[in-house]
Amino acid sequence: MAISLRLERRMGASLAMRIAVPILAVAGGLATGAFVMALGGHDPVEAYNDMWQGSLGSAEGLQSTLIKATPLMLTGLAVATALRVGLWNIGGEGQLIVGAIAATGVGLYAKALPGPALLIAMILAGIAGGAMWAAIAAIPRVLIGLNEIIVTLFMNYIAILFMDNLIFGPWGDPKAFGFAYSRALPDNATLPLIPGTGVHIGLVLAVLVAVGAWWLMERTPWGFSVRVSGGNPRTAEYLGLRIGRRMVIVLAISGAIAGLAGAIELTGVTNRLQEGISVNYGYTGVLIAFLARGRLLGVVVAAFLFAALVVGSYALQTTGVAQPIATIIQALIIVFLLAGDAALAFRLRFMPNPAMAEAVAGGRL
Amino acid sequence: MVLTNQASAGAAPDYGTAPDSSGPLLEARGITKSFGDRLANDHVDLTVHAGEIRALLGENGAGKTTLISILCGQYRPDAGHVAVRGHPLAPGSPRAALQAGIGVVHQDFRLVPRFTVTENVVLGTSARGGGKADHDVAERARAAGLQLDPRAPTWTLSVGELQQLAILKLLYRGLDILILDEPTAVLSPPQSAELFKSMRRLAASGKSIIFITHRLREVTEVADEVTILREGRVVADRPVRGLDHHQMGVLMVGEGKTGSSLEGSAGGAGESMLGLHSVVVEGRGVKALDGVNLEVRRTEIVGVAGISGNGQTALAEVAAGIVRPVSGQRTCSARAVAYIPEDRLNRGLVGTMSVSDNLAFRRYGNRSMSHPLWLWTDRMRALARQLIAAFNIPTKRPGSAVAEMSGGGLQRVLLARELSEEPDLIVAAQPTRGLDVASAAMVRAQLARHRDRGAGVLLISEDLDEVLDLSDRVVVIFKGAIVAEYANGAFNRAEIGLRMGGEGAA
Repeated sequence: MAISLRLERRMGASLAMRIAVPILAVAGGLATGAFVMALGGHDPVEAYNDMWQGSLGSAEGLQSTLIKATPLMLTGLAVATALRVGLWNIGGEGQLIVGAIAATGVGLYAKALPGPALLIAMILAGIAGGAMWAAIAAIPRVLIGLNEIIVTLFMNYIAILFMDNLIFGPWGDPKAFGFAYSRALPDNATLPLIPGTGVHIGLVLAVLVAVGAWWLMERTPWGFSVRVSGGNPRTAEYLGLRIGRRMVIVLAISGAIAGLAGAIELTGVTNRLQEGISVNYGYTGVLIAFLARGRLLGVVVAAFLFAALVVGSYALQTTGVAQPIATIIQALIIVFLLAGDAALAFRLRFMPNPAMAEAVAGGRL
Repeated sequence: MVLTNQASAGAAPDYGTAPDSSGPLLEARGITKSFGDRLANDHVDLTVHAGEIRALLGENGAGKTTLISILCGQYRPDAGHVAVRGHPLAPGSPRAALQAGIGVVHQDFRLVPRFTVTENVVLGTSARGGGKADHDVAERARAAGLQLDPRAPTWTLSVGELQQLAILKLLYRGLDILILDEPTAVLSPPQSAELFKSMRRLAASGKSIIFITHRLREVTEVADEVTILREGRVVADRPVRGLDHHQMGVLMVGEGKTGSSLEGSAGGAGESMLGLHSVVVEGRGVKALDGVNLEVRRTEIVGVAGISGNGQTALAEVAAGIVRPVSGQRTCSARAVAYIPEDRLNRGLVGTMSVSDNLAFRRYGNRSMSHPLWLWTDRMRALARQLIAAFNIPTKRPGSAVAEMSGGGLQRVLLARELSEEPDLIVAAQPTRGLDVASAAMVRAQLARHRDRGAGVLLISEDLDEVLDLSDRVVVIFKGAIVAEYANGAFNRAEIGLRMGGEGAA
């Protein structure tokens, strides 16, 4: 056929299309995930049914999903917040761990604090720990322009090894011979549950943080100035805004949010500092922020979706589908999202090509 | 011939007829193209004969770029057809357009900086670089009267030389319909004069040139024929001879929309708003400004004439208070300073934020717009709607992203924001560069109005006519220093031109 394909640049995609792209990306990720499962000789319908039952389709599953969504929401918010000032915080993982370490420290050494005071002190320590860890990464960025992606990423390994050092050493549980976790925290260091559910109140905190971060960045004059700095540093300079200061503060806020996730996981789920307190939450947060198109409130939805995928995959063990399918689907969603971005920037057009038609007719092709 | 094979079978009833050698070289008939619901070209006809320089004149958005994109095969018209030497041209095929002899010199040249002149010239042809190619290219350049060293790395060339290179690239391919897309936008007056000489020489050798411009003066200077587009339609197609600037301006922008002529300030200049004293600014190890002394007072426009690259950018940034001098002093007694930077989108606006946000950059912290804990976005939008109306900003929604606007639109957003606060000092760098006639006239009128209101204006422009028309006082900048100053009424165009080139008595 004498049809040619053309790419044309599109000016300003419509709102409907911008909303459609993430939805289609999720659908595309799930469909391709089904294909991958079929390749492995499994029935994707059955597998998805199991995932649904295990994540959203049952009260128990929904509860697990909400618990899983809490740290993911926070790490996603950490990334989306840093993006407001134009920085990529890939260090959510490390900031979460430092937050957990700081909270554990308070839990182990300030045991005497009565009732909820201990819990509150631990959470504040987690926030401070994450903030500090991120702010350290912001300083070389501001002073000598060292790329924050590299610094935040490498600081993750420092945080992980530091945690290992603590749980295998001074904070280790002598009774847990061979297992990598700290001594147990006191009973009053446990987050209460949302009444009538099995979900700890960390979820409520995470949603409050989402609303708070949105309000700070989108609805205050200071947040406005942050968005100007992130959107175009040269214009910020033109307006006399101090960009470096905003970078440090925003990255500290970003780290504080990730640190809060660490404190919540510690007090709401693990109750000890342990290896695997973060199951790649920091990195998944980057994907979540990306799926949410960097929008702070969008992160709430995207985190819920990713949590459902992960929790759903736990239910797959019986069908024989390997659990990493959740990670594969997450990755596929991001690939489709990138393709969708290209589709928003360009338009593919099919059109008849007379020159080619003639070439075909003339036997030259 | 290959050309015939490439021709469109569908849209060519006269396919196979003998080529018409006496007719026009290029003929476009009834070209129509729409983007969405906007009609960019509406039954446009364009005829170019061999050896002719045809100016294509029109405001931004008049449809010039669409038309040339169709001529060179980048777009396919919705209706109408193009013929070269009587042969229909396959629509939407850049290759067919090249084979028919149509080539474009784009505004940004599209050259590879790391390549040598020769390598850029032969890029895309079957020839390779090397000694023989260098020789061929040098030969071609000499024949066309272009002074280019074939072995020079492209990144070392000046803007004028880059343009010559882009033209040479087309000549090397043997193309004979050359489309120059606003070639003078990036050139200084002497460079433009040089370009016009080359254009005339090329036309004399039988090449046809389609010359796109905003500047009326250039049309009369170099073109034989002119096609004027307005809102996608041809409003004039005639010889340039016998057409004056006023008529052309009216045709281009429509009746009653021409910029009013501006008068000098009524009273004398008042107190000093800005003083620069022995100011030195360094950029990348070299002195961008080397001991500049300059004063701008109330109710005066001080024009800075000069060829680009002589320190204008540094002067603007120091005057606006963004860059600190290495030595010397800046004194500023203005309460509000407006700065119109030359690079609007990169310095002054945030492309990803909305028109309404961009308009609020100077005010979002004010009581009227916000409380420390709450931004009144509805008030920001109300302000935006007011400014959009007052400055004719071409946008339907205050919430749409600024990056989606044209150059004229960006400049209007910037002006609206900077000038709506009644500034005492205005620093305007190349404020009309790349703008259509209506936008440029508005910018000039605004500068004059604020001068009359009592503001001091520093106007830095490479457009000498603009400087001379608007200024109460003119200084000439050359190699980072002010080399001459002229009071109102004592402007001597020829002498200023010499000083801009570093000539003339000290």
